[in-house]
Amino acid sequence: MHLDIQIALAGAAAGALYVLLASGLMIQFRSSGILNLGLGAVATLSSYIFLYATGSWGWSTPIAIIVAIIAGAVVCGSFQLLVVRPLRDSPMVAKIAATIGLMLTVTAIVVLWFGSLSPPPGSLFGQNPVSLHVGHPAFVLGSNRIWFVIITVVITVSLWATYRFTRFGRATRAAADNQAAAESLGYSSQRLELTNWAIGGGLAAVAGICLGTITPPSSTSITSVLLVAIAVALLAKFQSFSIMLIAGLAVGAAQAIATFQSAALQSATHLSGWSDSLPLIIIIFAVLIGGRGVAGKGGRIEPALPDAPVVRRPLLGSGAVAAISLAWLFVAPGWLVDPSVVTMISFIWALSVVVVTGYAGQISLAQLTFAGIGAYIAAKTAVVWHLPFPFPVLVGGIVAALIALVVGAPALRVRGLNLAVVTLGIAMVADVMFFADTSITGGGNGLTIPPAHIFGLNLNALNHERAFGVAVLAFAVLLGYGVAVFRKRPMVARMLAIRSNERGATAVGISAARTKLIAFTIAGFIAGIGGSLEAYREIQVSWTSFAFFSSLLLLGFAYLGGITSISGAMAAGFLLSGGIVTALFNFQGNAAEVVSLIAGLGVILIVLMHPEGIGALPRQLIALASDRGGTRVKHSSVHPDGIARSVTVPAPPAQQRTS
Amino acid sequence: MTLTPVPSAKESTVTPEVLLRVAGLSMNFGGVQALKSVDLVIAKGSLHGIIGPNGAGKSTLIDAITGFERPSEGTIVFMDSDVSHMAPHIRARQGLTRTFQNLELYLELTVNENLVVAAHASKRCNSDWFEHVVTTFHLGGELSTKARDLSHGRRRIVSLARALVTRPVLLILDEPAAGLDTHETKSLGLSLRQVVRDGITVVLVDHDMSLVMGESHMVTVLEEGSVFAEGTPSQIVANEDVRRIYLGGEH
Repeated sequence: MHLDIQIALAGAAAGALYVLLASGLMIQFRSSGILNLGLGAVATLSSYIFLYATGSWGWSTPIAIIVAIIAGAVVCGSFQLLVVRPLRDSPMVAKIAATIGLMLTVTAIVVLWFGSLSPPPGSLFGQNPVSLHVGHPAFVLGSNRIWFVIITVVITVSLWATYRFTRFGRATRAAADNQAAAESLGYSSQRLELTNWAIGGGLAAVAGICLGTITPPSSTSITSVLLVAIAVALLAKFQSFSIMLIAGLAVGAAQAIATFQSAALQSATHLSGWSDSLPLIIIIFAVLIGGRGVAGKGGRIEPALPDAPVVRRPLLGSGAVAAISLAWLFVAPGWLVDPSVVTMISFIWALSVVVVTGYAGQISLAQLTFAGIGAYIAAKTAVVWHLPFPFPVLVGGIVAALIALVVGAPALRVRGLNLAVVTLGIAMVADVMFFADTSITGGGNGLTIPPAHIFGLNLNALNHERAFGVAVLAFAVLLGYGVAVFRKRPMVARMLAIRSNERGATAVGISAARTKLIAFTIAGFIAGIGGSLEAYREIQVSWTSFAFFSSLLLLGFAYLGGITSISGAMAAGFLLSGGIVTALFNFQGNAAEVVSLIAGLGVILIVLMHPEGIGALPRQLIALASDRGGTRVKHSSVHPDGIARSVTVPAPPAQQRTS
Repeated sequence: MTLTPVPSAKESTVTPEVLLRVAGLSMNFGGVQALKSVDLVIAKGSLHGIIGPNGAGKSTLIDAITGFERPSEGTIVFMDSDVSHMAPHIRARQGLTRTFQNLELYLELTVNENLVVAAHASKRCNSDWFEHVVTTFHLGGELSTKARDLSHGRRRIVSLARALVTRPVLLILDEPAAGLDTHETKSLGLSLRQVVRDGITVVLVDHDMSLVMGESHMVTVLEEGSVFAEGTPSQIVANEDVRRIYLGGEH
């Protein structure tokens, strides 16, 4: 018991860092309605600046601290100026994608600047044990942890006082409540937002510096920390600094206990990873409890996602793509064959995002979790049931669809950003409790799937790459064709109606629940097929491809390509890591970082300037060219009999009544 | 006080069939009682007006009847079946449809898509009915226009048409004349007569006195969450209490 308390105390002190990051998230969110998923990357940047400045650059500590904090504030401030402000009237997906873009960009800058290895921890506060003079024997805490708590408490109290008692704080709260009303009283909401974003960046920097004195963060580890910070902010309902302080310390303590007792927890529950899952389970419940079954009155109209274009001749379109790709698979130089396979699999994943997010408007950050489940099931059925290719792929898709159906259930109660956060939480729970569990999935060693064979043809991805590529192409084309045909079905019209206005859809008799679950299920099936194919590509399946972090990137890249169109999914396929574009950049050593930097900036630019995505460019160019010749349907739709002949949506139902 | 409607000569011979019966409907929002034991009977084939000052509970009543809010107490019986616990979309499929004060259109879909989505959701709509609705509201020329690009008045019309293409049994209109000019309001009134002639029962909730009084067969006055008075338009206009609390400024 004494030891448990000692460990809880140390954990609570580390939890102070969550409070700092959560304060940054909350301040930025309250002023702009954007949950900054890039804040962790900003903390990493500041952390590294501080560590290198005090280390190899030989700066004095105070200057290093100030510069690191300013860096955090400047990055967030400029992001507010250049991106957050112009996105004020953009849909939530665009905002989330933009912060993923920030995350990608800053992470890439960190790696390009400082290299991919984490620097050694700094020694700002020392690690000497300090007696707390309580308990028998007295509890001790490292001096650095005592400093964390002091810093966090001081900052929390000053933030609370600032937002409560100063003119700036009151104005911020007023603008958060009603921006137009605050502006009509003479407050510049832009200046308020900018200041708040800079403060948020500064807080992230402080968290990064503190974290740098124990374990310097990496791009993935900081994202896990960020998720815990989101949990803490959610517990405080993005409102109360004091609840956030208590929640942060409590979560830190609980995590430390769960780590300490992990063996006992595992034998009791047969599940591992409790310490990492705990905050995520908090997230999921906190959001679900606040949810609402029937869509409420929106304070303002949710801005629209771009149009979801109809492929007029799906058979022709997919046939042409299939022919070109097939030819390419046989003539491509050897070093481009595997990247082409990756491109096709990434296309399938992005296609799943198009269905669930682009069509139905449900933001899922768990798509690669479904893919991973598909991969796992495919590997298991191939090994245990000796099912021949391609059946394990189909079984993988079906099981992933069923899991997606269950994971989609929260979408019945929560919407927009909250749904994104819940699905991200679920993705990370799956990460730490399922994919990382050696006893289930083989953990880091992965599972081995027997190479694919069909009709005596060897489709082994390792030594018959081109043949395997053709098999993947078949799936990619079928799925793309399927989605193109599906787009013309009334179901997609219902999805678009739900995406556009859920209350309005419910009022005419559309079941929001059924429509959303169908979207999740179909998207889960597509993702699962992609995952199963990825398993066959890797042979030795490593679960890192399906980490929650990758799902975040997938959403960013799907937006970059074009989240509402099949051609957008194709563009995303080319761009996603390991695909053809990365391969082409491979002439230099740090291709992945360069591509990720370009992609990060690209996501931000696309969100700002061309929300239809890269994939829409050829289509728009063609439309522009043909527009010069003829008139547009839009302006010539008046017909003498009053019924437009040019509508693209199928005519009303055929269930004619003989009355 | 509540007025009992005096049956007219025509009505007294045939008892009107009850389409919707709301009994003892109460609604609390965190201590505020928005509805206090409201009873309401809507006769089939009628156009029933509901008026009341701001905050009287008109929108809350619509939300409760159509299932967008869950009442704290009370029952809602529609076509002889208790719909009190049904999801809003199920009520809509049974023919209990509504429009919204703030329209809730699918702004980035075309007018045609707005209507077709609704038509597909209903078993009662066929293509004749669809065209009938399009013609009634003169929407033919705007079918391929995005709802976002329409004027406010036309958006109101589209939201009304969207509810109508489902061929509802009972259509509840939440302030359909808000923001319309005199001419548009007048033409809305004519369209509503057509809707009633088509056999659809209409509940009209609006601020526009001339519209409600001119078109309704029966009017219910809500005040602070309860039914204050009920009767034919002429009875309501003649009612001193109603004139004092509500009509005062206008009459």
